[in-house]
Parts: sequence; structure tokens; C-alpha cells
Amino acid sequence: MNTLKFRYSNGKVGSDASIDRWLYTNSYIVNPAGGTGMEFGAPYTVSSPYPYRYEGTIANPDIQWETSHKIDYGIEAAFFDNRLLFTYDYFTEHRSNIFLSGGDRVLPAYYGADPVAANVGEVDIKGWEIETEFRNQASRSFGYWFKFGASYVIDNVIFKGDPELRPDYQKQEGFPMDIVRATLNQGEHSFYSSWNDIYNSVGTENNSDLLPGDFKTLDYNADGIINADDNVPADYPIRPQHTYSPSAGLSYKNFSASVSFYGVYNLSSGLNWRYSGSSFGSSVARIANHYVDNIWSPENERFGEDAMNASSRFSSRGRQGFINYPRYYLRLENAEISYNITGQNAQLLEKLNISNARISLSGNNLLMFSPVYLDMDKVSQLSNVSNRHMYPVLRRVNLGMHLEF
Amino acid sequence: MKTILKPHWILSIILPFLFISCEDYLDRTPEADITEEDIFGTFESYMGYADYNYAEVVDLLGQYAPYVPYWGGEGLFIFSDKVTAANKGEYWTLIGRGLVNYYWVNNRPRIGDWDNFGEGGIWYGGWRGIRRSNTALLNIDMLQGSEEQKDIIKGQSYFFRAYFHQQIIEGFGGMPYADVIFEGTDVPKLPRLSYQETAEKIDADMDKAIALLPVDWDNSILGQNSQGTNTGRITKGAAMALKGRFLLYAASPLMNGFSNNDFSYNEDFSKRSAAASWEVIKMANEGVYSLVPWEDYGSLFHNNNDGTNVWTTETLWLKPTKEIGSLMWSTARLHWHPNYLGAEGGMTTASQNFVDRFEMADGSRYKVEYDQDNNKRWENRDPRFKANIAVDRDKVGDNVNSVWHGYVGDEPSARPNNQAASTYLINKFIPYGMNTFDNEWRNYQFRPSLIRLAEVYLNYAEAVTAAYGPLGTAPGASLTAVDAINIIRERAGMPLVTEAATGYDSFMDLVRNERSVELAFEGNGYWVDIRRWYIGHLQENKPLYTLDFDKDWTFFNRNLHTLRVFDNPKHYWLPIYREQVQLYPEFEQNPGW
Repeated sequence: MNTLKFRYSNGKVGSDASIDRWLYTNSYIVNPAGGTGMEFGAPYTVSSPYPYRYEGTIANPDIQWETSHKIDYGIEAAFFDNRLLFTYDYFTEHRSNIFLSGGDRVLPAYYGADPVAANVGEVDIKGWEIETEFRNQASRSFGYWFKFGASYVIDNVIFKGDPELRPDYQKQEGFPMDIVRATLNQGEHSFYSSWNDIYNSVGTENNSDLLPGDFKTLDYNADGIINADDNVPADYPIRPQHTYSPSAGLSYKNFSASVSFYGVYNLSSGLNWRYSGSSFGSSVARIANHYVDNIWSPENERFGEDAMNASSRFSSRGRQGFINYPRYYLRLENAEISYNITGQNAQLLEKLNISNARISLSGNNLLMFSPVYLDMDKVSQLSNVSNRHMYPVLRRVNLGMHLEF
Repeated sequence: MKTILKPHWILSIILPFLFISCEDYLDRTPEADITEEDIFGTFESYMGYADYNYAEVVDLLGQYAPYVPYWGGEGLFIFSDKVTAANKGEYWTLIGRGLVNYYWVNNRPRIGDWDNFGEGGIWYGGWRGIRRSNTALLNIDMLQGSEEQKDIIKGQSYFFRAYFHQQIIEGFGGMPYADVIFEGTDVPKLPRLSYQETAEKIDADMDKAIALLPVDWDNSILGQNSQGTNTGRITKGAAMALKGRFLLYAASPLMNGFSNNDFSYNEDFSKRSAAASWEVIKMANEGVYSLVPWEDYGSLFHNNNDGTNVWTTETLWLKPTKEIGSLMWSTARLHWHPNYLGAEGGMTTASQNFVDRFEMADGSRYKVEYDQDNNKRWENRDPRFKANIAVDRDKVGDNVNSVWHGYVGDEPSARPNNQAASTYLINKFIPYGMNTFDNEWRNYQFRPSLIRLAEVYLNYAEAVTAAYGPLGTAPGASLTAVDAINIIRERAGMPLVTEAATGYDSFMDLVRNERSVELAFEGNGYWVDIRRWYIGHLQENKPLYTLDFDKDWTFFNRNLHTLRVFDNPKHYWLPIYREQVQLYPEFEQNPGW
């Protein structure tokens, strides 16, 4: 053992980054349209001489910055002549006085105004990070290295404006921040197979929109109607809780090679990108080939996609339940082989006044291991469930020559 | 080696920020330093603040709103799920359907726009108006002005605090009475009151308002400064008339039942309602108000767009608005006119059930067998029948094509292609010639009143009948319930009635029928009426019928159009937003939702 270090840090940080100014004073809007007063009068209506005005923001004198209390425990160690490095961190963060804008709060309607922003949110975060590296120059001409990093972060909302009597599964409280909620399907291949099936199933608030081939939604709270109350939180947040990144490399004489992977798991994400809408510059919906081959039809009920409809219908048709599955992926992010031109060949280079030359072949996004279809950019989609207007992933292979004069 | 900034450089960068921060940023609001003193210091500014309440008033007959009052079964809808959901009792579906539903809509109302009938919504706009009224009332000492000026503001603000609470509880049932200004740090937890408890608080505010409001603004000390720009402001008489209505509602079987578990008229509230309406009738007897003569009946609802307000001697209050013009036509035709006569969207026609409420011209009741009789079905009815409704083959204008077709057939102008659910075209608000063929629609303006004198007589008749019987009067009054009904009937040219109420189960039954006929389709009541009379859930009120027949009138059949879903107690009160009833146990959801 060459190094052994224990670290401990404990601190409080304040932030007002997301907090608007002036929240501690009342504001008033005067004559917003530069206009006049109310219209009164008979026989002819005319503007009253009293230009109108109304209350803007209601003051909250208690507005303050958010507080974050962070504690970190760390170990660093090095072994075998510093060839094996190891660090481990365990951290906790308690955020309190989190600023909630009015829209995140619920006040009784008789308050008579939009809810007032306040520092009432609270979140706990904890996690760990590990990093190991082994690097060995076995001989003058041969060296190799392995690296492995992993992290785990979980956050838990303690309070985010939930009304007290809201059912637990509908609350933000007790779940990770920004958890996606959606209705569940009664099974992965569960469709309304016919009109009879629709009439014999639990209704929604707006049954006239249902069609055979739509996903069959689960009446989660068993109140006899499928509505927003049947939305349940996904298993995992849209940000991965676990990430890991193995990589390795070697060099032998003038050759060198490396691969690096990046993987995530414990996240939920959607299959919500079937229709790519107007973001490609056209309002015509486009549908990836994959889906066309797999859509439901009366003759073909085996596949995993609901029937194809106009795009305006699709978001509400039980599809929600389909989109929030646990996801994972492992991606070969980068691989590279290169050759340094030296030795005898270098004489040729010298004649050309080239001091250093290297040829390399590298690739990005070469491989992807995931249960999700491969025709879109999962990296960005998995991180943003609502965005279904993504470009397909770019797989890139570079052949390069590097010359220095 | 890196270059290091010397201290004086750092200071010279930081110091200007410090000064800017201290002087310009920290202590001022961006809205050019508008303080409470600026808003509430002068009379002009204070009035501008308080007057916004007028923009917040919801006129249920406006824009898309007729669907709401017609939930009571007056109307049949052709729109698909949007409004038929109401007849199916699926009120949640209506939430979020924008202007179709003024109970839940939530916008900041525009000032003086012709089509702002109440986009603030009854729920949100109402509570917002209540807060505004509270602010106006509780900051009154900041006003540097005379006592008269303060009284004018207080009078209107007491009125609006009461009025908005009333609008809310008519749909949603008893509520907390908000009479303080909630601060930014408050998290109030007021319990819901019963309907009558809320009504008592409303009535106390109405009394304060009535004491302070002028009879005629133009003749008041302050109104003289703004002569001609006062009509539309709430007056003593209008507030008194509304007080009578509010108390009658509070006295009604539903409200009494939910407050006291007694589903009959509450005597105390009935008496107080009668007394309030009598005060208005006294003013009418002194010439302040009068019923318009029968030949001017249409002027209560529309005029020929000469630029004047639709304001008559019978009008007690209407929602003030900008001079409206032909744009009003689009509102009217959206609801009441068929496509081939120039409508834009779906339309609402009257149900056979409701049309049956119109008596024969001789004062007898309509009978189902008259359906087959060409001289009785649509002829020789109460004159208000044709003032409210056009039937098949009726001319609606001079043009040869201006004929209403209510028969069932294949022609584009026949049902169902003309978008009409029944043969009864609601014509009360659409005068002769207002259609594509006659092209008179530019000469048209429509504006329903929020309360008119005829309703005061009907309120009086109902309250007196409940408290003192048909031949009773309010204390000190010279008018019996029978007299009050006869005043309304006389104007329409109908035979007078007696307390015997021939053809009716009771005199109260007659009073209710008279109310439905006189105020038909006006938006201020039938949906409230069938609820407050506690008859909405009765089996006989659930099926809504149409009268179907062919072009040549060879047969006439009554067919079921809609079997309304109306469960007791569920559909007597509207559902309250879920997040609101999840806040604390004392603010509970209405039963059944």
C-alpha cells in the first residue's frame, strides 16, 4: 500500500439561483394595456374615468435562499507502486428551504390569488461514487490499463407542495424528484381488441375517443373510471440512478488501442417517440419503420405497438402506460486503434519535414446493448422522456492521420 | 507565470456593482415603484382597482356559456361530448373544456371587450373578486378622500364580496366566507360552511352594500362627476333585487335540505326574501323601474345596433361592456341558429319537456294529445311561446328562404342536417331578419340582463307563497303572490290566475311554471331552479323528448332524445377541484364526487 487517505467534509451552502427578485414586496399592475376604465353608460357605453389596475405578486417577506447541507466521506488508496488506485465516496445532501414557485403550491381557492412562492421544499439526496484504476507498464514496449467508475445517486422528496390528503402514490413526497407518472397498461400486449372489448372495459372520462387497438389501461385506484388519478409513478426517475463506465487500453510498441463503455440502469423512460413531429421542419408526422411493422391490427395482435392513429390522438390513448418502463443500456462509446509512425519509417518523414505522425481508426457509438429499439438516439431520449423529436443516433467511424511539421 | 490582478483592479471592478446594488436593485420593485399608497391613495386610482370586479362578473348567457344554464333540461345539445357530457352528468369531463364551462375556466378577464362575458370564471374569478373586494374594503383608510368617496367604494365592494360568494355557492354549495386579506405567508384552513351559513354572511354584506349604494348614480354626489358613464354600476335597487334572489335561493328546498336536513322551503329565509323583493317592487311602484310593454318585449334582449346599450326600464343590472355591434351576432348564432340560416357551430334547441310548460292562450295546460292538433300544438299558445321559440314553417325573416325547418328529412335544411336536435328554435334573442338570407345581422346587438324586474315579481311570488301562502303578502305590502304572478301574466296578455291554480298541483307549482316561461333560456336560472326545487333527480325530469314529424306533417311522434343522468345528491352540486379538497379535512368534496 502506498497511500491511504480518509476524507470528511461537512458544509452548508446557500443558493438563490432560481429565485426571482422582489418576491418580498407587493406589486401592482397599473393600466396594463395603457387602456381605460370599465365600460359603463347608457344609452351609449363609454370608458369610466378610472383606469384599471390590479394586484400583481403578493409579497412573501419570508423568502430566503435555499440551503443545502452536504456531508462527504471519502477513502483514497493506492497499492502496488501506485499501479492500483482506488477512491470511494459516500455522500449525503439535505436540501431545505427549497424555493417553490406559486405553481408548485396548492393554497385554498378562497385565498383569491395564485399561490405565493415560498421556501418550503425539502429533499434528501444520498449516493456513492467509486473509481478504480489499474495501470501497468509491463515492459518498455507493452503497457495496459483498466478503469472502472460507478456511481449511485438517489434522491427522495420530503416535501414539494403536496396537499396533505392526496393519496400517497399521487404525491411528489416519497419519490425521486421529477418522477414521471403515467397510467399502467393491463399487460405489455394488452389491447382493446374489438368494440365489445371497449364496452366491457372500465371507461375513461371521455370514452368517445377510444378505438380498438388502443392500449388497455389499468384502473389503478379501482374507482370505476380511468382518469388522472390512475397515474402512478414510474419505477425509477428519468435520470439514471446508476451509471458505470468501464474502459481499458493497451499499447504495444507503436500500436495503441482503447475502448470505453458507458452504461446506466435504474431509470425509467419512454417509447414515446413513435411519431416524430414538426421538429424536422415539417408538420407532417413521420413514423419510424420499426413501428409500422409492429402495429396492432385486427389480424395481427401479437406485436407491441398500439394501432396507428392521427398523432393528435396518440398521447392520451393509454400509450402513457407503455412508455415508462425500467430501462438500461450499455454503450460502446468510443474505440480506437492507432499507430505511431516512428523508427525506420520515420526517416521518410524527416525528409518531408514531418516531426510526428500517427494513423488512427476510431469509432463512436459503435455498439449499444439495450432493450430499447436502436433507431433513435437513446442517450438523449433516455434523458428526456418528453422529447420525441430526436435525430437518429450518429454512429461515426473516423480514419485519421495526424501529422506534425 | 500567471499574472495576478492587483487589489485596486479588483476593487474597481467590484465597487461599482456594490453601489448599483445598494441604490437601484435591492429596494425597488421593477414596476416603477407602485406602492399601496399609489393604488389606494387617490379616489381615481382606488376606483380603477375596485372596478375590475365588474370585468370579473360572469354572464352565463354569453359566448359559449348557454350550455351551462341549459343543463337543467331546457335545451338539447347537438355538440358531441363537449356539452352532452353535462346531460350525462359527467361534470369532470367539462373541466378544462375552456369557455364551454364558465364554472371552472380561469383567465384574467379583459376590460371592456365585447365578448368578455365572464372569462374569469365563476370559481377562480369569483375568489379573485372576493380578494379584490376585501383589499378594497380593508385599505379604505389609506384613501385621501371624502366620506362619500369611501362609501361609494365600500358599497360596491361589499356588494361584490357578497355577489361572488353567491355565484360560487350556487354551483358548488356552502363555502368559507373570505373576509380578510390573506398575506403571502398565510396558509388558511377555513372550514366549509353550510349553504345557509354562507348565505347569512352574504346577506349581511348585501345589507351593508344596499345602505351605501345610490339609487341612481347620475344623481348621486359622485356620479355627477361622471354623468353618463354610470349605467351598469350596481345600484341600490339592483342590489336589493339580488338580495331577494339570494335569500330565495337560500330558502329553497335543496339549500334548506343540505343545511337543515329539511327539504322544504325555509320560512325565515322566505320571509326575508319576500321583504327584499317588496322593497324593489315599491321602487317600481314609485316609477324607478317598470316592466316594458309587451310590444317591446324583444328590447329586453336585443336592439338594432344603434350604438346604444341594451338597457330598458325593466333592466336592473347587466354586465357592462363596450359598444358591441355586429360581432354579437357570432355569439348568438353559435348557440341558437341553424347552419343554413348562417350559424357557425352547433346549436341548442329547446326540449319538448320545456316547451310543454307554455300554457294555451286561454290559460289551460298543454296536453300531450295536442301534439296531433294543428290548431293547438303550436297555435293558440301563451304569446310568450312565439316570443321564445320558432317552430317548423315559421318565417324568421322577409326573404323567401328565411324559413325555419324543424321537420325530419333528408334536405340540408331539415333535421338532423341542420344541426338541430329538436324542432324548437330558441328565438328569444334573435329578432326577425337576423339570418344570412335577410342579411340583417349587422343591425343587431344582444345583451341579456343579469336581473330584470320581472324576476323580482317572480321571486316575490315564490317567497310569499312559501312563507305566507298565495294570498299572503310581505309585511306592509299591498301585493299578494297571486297579484305578483298576474302582473307578469298581464304584460304577456295571458288570462289572470287565482289561488286555485287550476291545472296545477299547487299554487307553488304554478309559480314555478310561470317563472320557467317568463325567464326561459335567459341563463339565470333553470339549472339552478330544478336543483333548488329538489326535483332534478325525480324520474319524470330525466327523459328529454323531441317532437319528430315529416315535412308534410303527416305524423307527430314524441321521441326520447336524452335520458339525463341526475343522481341524488351527486348532481346537485358541482365537483370541486381535487387538489382543493385534498388540502385539509374541513374543506371536503361535494357528495358523490
